[in-house]
Amino acid sequence: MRQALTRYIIRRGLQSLFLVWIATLIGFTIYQLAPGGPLQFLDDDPKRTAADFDRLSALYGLNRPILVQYLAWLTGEDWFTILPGGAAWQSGQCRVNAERCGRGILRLDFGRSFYFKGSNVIDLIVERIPATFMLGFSSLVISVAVGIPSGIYAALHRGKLPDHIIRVTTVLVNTVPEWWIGLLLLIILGGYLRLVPLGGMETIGDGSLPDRLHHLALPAVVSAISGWISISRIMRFEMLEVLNQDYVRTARAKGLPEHLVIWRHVLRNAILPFVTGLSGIFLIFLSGSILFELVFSWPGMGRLAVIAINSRDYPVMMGLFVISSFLGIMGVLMVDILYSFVDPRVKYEL
Amino acid sequence: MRRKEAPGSDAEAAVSVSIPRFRRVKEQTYWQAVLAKLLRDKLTLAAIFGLAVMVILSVTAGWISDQVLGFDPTTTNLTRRNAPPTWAEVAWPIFQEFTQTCQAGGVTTCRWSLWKAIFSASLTGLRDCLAAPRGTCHWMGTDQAGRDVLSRALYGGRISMRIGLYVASISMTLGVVLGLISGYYAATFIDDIINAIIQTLGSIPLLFLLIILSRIFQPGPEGLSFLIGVFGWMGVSRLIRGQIFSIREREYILASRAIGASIWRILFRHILPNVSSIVIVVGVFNVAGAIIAEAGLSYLGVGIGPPLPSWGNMMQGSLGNFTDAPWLVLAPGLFIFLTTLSIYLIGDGLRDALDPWVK
Amino acid sequence: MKGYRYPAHWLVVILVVCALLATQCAPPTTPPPEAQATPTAIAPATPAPTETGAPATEQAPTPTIAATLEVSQQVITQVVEESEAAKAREPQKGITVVSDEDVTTPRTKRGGEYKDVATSDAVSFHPYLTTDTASSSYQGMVYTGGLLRLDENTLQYIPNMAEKYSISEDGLTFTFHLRKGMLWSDGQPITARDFEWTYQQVINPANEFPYLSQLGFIKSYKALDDYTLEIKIDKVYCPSLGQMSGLITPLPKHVWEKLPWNDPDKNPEMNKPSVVSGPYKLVEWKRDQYAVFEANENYWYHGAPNISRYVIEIVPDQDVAYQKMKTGESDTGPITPDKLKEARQLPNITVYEWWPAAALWSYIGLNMRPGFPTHNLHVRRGLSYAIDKDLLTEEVMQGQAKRLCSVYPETSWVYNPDVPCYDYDPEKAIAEFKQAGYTFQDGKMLDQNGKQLRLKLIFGPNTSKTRELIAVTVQDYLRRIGVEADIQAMEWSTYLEALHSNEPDWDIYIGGWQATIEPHIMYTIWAEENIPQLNSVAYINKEVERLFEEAGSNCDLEFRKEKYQQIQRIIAEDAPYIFLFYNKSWSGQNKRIKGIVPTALGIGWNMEDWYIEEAPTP
Repeated sequence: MRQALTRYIIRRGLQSLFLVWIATLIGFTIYQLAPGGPLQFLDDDPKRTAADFDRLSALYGLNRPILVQYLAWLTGEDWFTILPGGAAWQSGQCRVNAERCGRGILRLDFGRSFYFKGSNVIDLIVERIPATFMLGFSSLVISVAVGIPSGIYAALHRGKLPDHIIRVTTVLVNTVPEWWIGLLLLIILGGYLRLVPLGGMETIGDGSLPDRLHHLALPAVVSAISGWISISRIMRFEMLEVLNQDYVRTARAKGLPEHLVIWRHVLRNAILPFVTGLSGIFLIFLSGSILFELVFSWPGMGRLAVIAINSRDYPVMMGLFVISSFLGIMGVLMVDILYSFVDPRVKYEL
Repeated sequence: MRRKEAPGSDAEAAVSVSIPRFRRVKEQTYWQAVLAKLLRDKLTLAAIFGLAVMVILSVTAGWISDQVLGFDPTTTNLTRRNAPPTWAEVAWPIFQEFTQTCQAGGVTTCRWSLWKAIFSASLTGLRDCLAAPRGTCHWMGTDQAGRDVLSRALYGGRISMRIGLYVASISMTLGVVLGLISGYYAATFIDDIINAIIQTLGSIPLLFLLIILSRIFQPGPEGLSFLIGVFGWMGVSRLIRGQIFSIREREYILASRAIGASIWRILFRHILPNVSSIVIVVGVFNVAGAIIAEAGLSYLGVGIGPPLPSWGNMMQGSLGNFTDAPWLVLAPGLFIFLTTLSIYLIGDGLRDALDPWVK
Repeated sequence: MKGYRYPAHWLVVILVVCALLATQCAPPTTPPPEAQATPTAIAPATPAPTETGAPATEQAPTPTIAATLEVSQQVITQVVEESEAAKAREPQKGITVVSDEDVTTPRTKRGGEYKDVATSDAVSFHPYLTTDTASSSYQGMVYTGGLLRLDENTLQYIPNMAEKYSISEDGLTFTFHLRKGMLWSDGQPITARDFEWTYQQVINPANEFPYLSQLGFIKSYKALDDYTLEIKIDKVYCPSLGQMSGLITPLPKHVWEKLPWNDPDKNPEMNKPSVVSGPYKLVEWKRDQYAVFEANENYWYHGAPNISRYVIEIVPDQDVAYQKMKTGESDTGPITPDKLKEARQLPNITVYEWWPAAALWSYIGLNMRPGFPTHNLHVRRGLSYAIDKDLLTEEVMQGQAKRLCSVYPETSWVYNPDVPCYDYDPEKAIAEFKQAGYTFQDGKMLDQNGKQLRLKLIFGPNTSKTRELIAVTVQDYLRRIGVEADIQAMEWSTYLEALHSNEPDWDIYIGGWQATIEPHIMYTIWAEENIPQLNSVAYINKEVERLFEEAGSNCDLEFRKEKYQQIQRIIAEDAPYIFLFYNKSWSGQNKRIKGIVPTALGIGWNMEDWYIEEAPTP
């Protein structure tokens, strides 16, 4: 049993690594898809001649075969000299100045930003991770805190009024885009009623906990909506399924008080599958961060992504893509492993 | 990997659809029972009616704009920019006056007596508007270029619903085919590949990728639907794979294998009908999801570009006018709301109906 | 012989400026607040076109501008010496100009915090790497480098950081004498060596200054001693004085010397400048959140500015930024033309309005390349007649704009009112099309083969409501004369790509330029050598090029004016653009901010003198 578990974890880990590798492939393809090539951003300056472009592609090593470029991006190019004739594979800037050799994303070197004038991509991303996590985590907490009870409640009152109300609410909030609700609430609550600040993470020069919570409230609630809905649905469904199980009937039959039946037998079993649902929700938050961070001026990865896309900052786009994929994959992996520990029924086949 | 299927809205549908066994009471085929159950569900019927109205409105948008409203959605009128609905022309300034009295000191200073004037002016306006010849009454006001908002919203419905349908058909087709294949070939090489694709797409930030791709390719409605659809089939596929697990060892499948039926015949003749109800339900939800996704992309400036109206791009940027021209906010909001609401209710109703013998 | 060609890059900057304006608010509209707040008295770090790029020494204010100005003007400049050449109506040769302006009296109304709001954040504080307006306005807070500045009333260049300058008899050598006693924020003196050192770094190609070729007209740039700069050029060129005045924003040599030029890892000054020359010092910068500045006590111009703290908060959504101004969370905010009426009535906001000397103007570009329908002059004129430009002007900008008939707006001193203006007339439009061989039948404009004329219209950025409005209106007007226009909205960089393509597939596009005070800079958008970048419509007219070159090399005002007027007439007749309108600028500021005086330079020119008057608490 324990052995099977270890084997399962190792296999899942390897599988996740494979997924990360695929994500790097996709990320690298983005770069190649850039219309007019990665140097298109230089178009700002009409006086740049074809010779300039050639010079710069040699400098950045864009004239190398794609596979070599990918290898350099992945593993760095400083070690190319070990290979026979490998020096020819290095980019121009690397050959001139060893300090400017790429070290590859494996060593967390995502290159330098085009738009942010030479800033390290990894620094730009890392400084934004906390904001995204803060928003994501708080909306996760809210959606769990609201979703589980409402799901349970709906299930226990299936077909009655509370169930209908919860069902209708979940449908209603799903019918208009969430960013639109967010912006509408921001303008009404922030602009007219002045209950919440108009976006941002903290009042400049304040940054105390109450101030941060004040800023966090609306974004967290709005971005929790989608998570709340799915959690509530999952909970309701799981509860209903467990309630139909024979052991629940047995428990009831032996005269166990209803609240104990629910607490001991139903909830425990219903909450387990919910953990798997969590991984999906985790991903929703990562993806959703783009829209919500834009609406609420939240300085996280999503906004960086929009800036990078609008300014065609391909190194940042690739970096963001790979890092957020990595975080997503690791999140799923962790949830799966956690799940395999808590649920003894899980099968460890692949 | 074969962990327990991730439950969710789809899984809910999946399980409740388990094949009817011994509960037959009347001589009724499955679809007859579904229909009978649907006809008893008033809410779903209303939703179907509502959606039908929206679809008809959108499909006949050209005729309605031309013959009923008398406005072309592309005809601009710079002298009537951001004009309120014609029937509210008198009432709107009074309403604004009312909100101003409220702004002075909260609810306490509101002059509620103004509402009498607002109502009577609106009623008169409505009566005049109904009697007015076509081409003179803007039922939902005009937008910033003086175009009729209602006819634009109708045309926008064409695009938005088209995107919804395209996305649903693309993701359903992909999801069903790949789901059937991977379910049938479970635990083989083919299944592994499909699973790897699903896992990859399931663990990378798809919205991010979608934005980048639509930036690069600047697709029209069809291209955009393709992009959204290609990234949206994984749920269906997983669901169907799970379903097939439960039926592929059934006797009738074994039997048809034994008599030498081809794989495709087994997949499409025997397995697909058994999962069709889930496919329908999920497909219905997909339509709504796609309409909303397009609106999100429009907000980011990568959806359907102007001048083509879509509900999404009508919403984008309209919120700034929330106080001075709320009809710009309400019109696309209302259309999206009614459409997706109908779709969700239909989906929910169908899920119940497709399980006709379950109480 | 080919005359001296001024490098096209000023216009590139302008294009970029327009680009950014466009993405921020609906273009063409009021410049974003952060751009206006850039103190113009000190030259912006990157050579921004509005002031530094537009030498206007020889320029008289036009009636339109004068009308908006206050008359009380303190003359601080005097020409102390005029040579024979100067007397012979060549004002750029053999003169010495000295200022006796006192720059040491400290300001008195100090204190308070100004809360600015911006829709895009700066990229870097390095003045020689960035091209965006947000960055240059941040840089303008902390660095200053204007040897001369534009006088807000006369729009002439007057001494600024240089207290005296002289021009040699041949007009090729310029000598600037810096004020003594100007200090960096760490107490070190600002000297000509700083200027020289910075120049040397900038011209090093390895340092990749984006606008390097702008410096191409400089032959030498030397510090003769600590307080004397000598700049030499190759050829007499009328607009050169103004271009020199803000060419180099000096960086503190004593700090930067030891640091790598463009590696942010090893050069902390790039993103957190510690030794500065501008009115403010950077306190904290959180990317995409806010930047906090505090007054620089060592600022050379009257010491620290009145407002002690200056905060810029980043809000990505324009509507939200406007709401922030409304609620008082910020002191300013973007106002779209549609919001202007409401903003004027806000109790806590004053909306300042002015006709800027460097107006933004909008036009519709017609592709003049052979093979396109608009290659035909009559088609272009027909299209011009078909659009009601008066109505567009009035309605699109809500009365905040005026018609434009040719290259220069009425605010320019070379404006020529006597050009064909193609007032709206569908009959004439159809007649012009007939001359071009089209037939108008059943409401359709048919070409020789009996096919309806279809034109592809592009505009960008696709999020701009104003451009969308112009596009759909134009489409509608064209439909009325039987021409179908297919609109394609493009995201900004794609739009630029399409415009700058060598083989464009569009027929018409909607564009905008920021006019310059110096008329000559407009040459670049009509020069054949600038096809397809600046001259995207591929306008080729040798006569126009000849006139521009004559006007640039003879500095006599009347002579130049006459040439520019001829140019306006020829271009209007050729109709390469359908000229639409140029617009007013405006800015909403909280009423607690006092001391704001709008001039043709905007409101930012005296920003250091703004002060805060807290409203008495009720």
